[in-house]
Amino acid sequence: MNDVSLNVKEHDIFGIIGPNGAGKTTLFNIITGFYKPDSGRILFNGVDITGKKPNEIAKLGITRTWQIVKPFLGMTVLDNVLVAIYVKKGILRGLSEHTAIEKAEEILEFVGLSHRKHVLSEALPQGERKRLEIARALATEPRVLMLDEPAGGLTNIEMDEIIEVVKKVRESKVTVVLIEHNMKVVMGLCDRVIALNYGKKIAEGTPEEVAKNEEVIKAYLGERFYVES
Amino acid sequence: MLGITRQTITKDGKYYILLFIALLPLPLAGDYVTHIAIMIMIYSVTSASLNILVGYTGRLSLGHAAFFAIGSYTSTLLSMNLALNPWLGIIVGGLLAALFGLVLGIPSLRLKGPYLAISTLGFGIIVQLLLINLDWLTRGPIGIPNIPPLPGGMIDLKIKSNFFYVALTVFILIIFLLGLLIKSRVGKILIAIREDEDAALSIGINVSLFKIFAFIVSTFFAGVSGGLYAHYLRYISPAMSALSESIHILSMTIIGGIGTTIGPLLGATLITILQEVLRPYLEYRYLIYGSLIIVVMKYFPSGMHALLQVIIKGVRK
Repeated sequence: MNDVSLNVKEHDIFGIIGPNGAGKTTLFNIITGFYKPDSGRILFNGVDITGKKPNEIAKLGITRTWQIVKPFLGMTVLDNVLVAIYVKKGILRGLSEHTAIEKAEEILEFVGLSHRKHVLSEALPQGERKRLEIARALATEPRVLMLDEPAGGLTNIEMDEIIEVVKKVRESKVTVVLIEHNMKVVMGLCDRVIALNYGKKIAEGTPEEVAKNEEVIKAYLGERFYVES
Repeated sequence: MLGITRQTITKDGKYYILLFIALLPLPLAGDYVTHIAIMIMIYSVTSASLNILVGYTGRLSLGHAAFFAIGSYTSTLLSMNLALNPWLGIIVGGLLAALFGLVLGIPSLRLKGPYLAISTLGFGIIVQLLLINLDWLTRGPIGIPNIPPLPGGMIDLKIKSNFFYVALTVFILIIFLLGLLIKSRVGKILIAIREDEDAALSIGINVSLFKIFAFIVSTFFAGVSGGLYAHYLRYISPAMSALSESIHILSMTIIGGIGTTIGPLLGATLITILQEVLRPYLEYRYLIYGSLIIVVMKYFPSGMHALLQVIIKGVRK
């Protein structure tokens, strides 16, 4: 990654697009503490969080999901969410078990998975696994939710469900940063978008502006296919 | 507290009390059976302690016998040289094993899979060599005989049937506690770490802290079971820390069913009985354990526990 700067406004849905290998996930890994940047800073509400550990960053209020989903497979859907609630609210004291379960059920309802709560998460199809990951991330009560290709590999119906969930997340006053290839998702959801290519920022603006940007089209289709219109 | 509800305690407690009652008349079957039962119960605790590490945090340990040995030597030496009450000695032995667990746990945070296994293997060998060579303290390779028995007040705990009830109580209590730990919030977090470390980090779990916690709990109970062993058999030697002993314990955990509460008990029972049955063919024992592990890993990844569940389901139908 080289010289990428971005500013995410509170309560926006902020999109990151770019061809494969552009560095989108790398950027996510740097922001959430899984990789350490060689230089540069990450500020969250004016506080420098560069170089903090992933679990510390999650505690501060930035929670991510994964391009290749990582549910806790051997656990039920409810337990997946409960674990995140325990971590957020405290293990020794924290919420009573009853309240914790109620809260977990509320979150599962929010993403439309309450009918699956007692199922082992390994039994879920891809679309539901993606929603479970969002539910688990929401259980940490993030201020910023970072979604790595929430619609990747989904059918059209599953994709619409995810879009609805992400819209509801924004309404609940959580800022969303998402990586996405699917332009339908980007156009339908994002307030602002940046495009990356070879680890550099090549465009920034509203989804419409970025979609029309010369550099972006070149990056996706290659120099030869860019026709002056 | 810790997310353990009263219902869980009473529901689980019922099973353990039933098991306790069911085993009460066992000494009637004679000294030989009683002895085997005591060994099974001691090894169940060791195997269950290893299960915390292998089954619930997904870390392979090839040096667990070292902690067993540390527990037994600590308790033995304290009771023989400083006349410490062996009951207290067993606890101190567990604590010292846990301290070593902490010391081994911190560097092994950075290691995964085979590398962690090798570091635990090395640890086991180091402990064995220390026990052999620090002969001014440990009496070297010949080991220590005539260890004082557990004091039982009016009751003579040198008598097998009496010791049986002590072992039974300790065994039921520890297995019950470990079972509750796994069902608690901490247990769920350990399982989350086993399932996916990165995902656990991403929801704010301090993975390092919980891994070290698992190391400490696991090695503490390994040490306690070692102490119990020492004051029961009343003879210990550096061979207790050998790789073959670690594999012995690991076979119990794997064959019984990793990541299950009763798996280690089933494994300890099977392996201990097998060892008795196969006594004339002792040199082939690891050949048999090895084959068993391969078969279990291939066809029953969750061990005898899975087999038992299939049987129970069949009976219910």
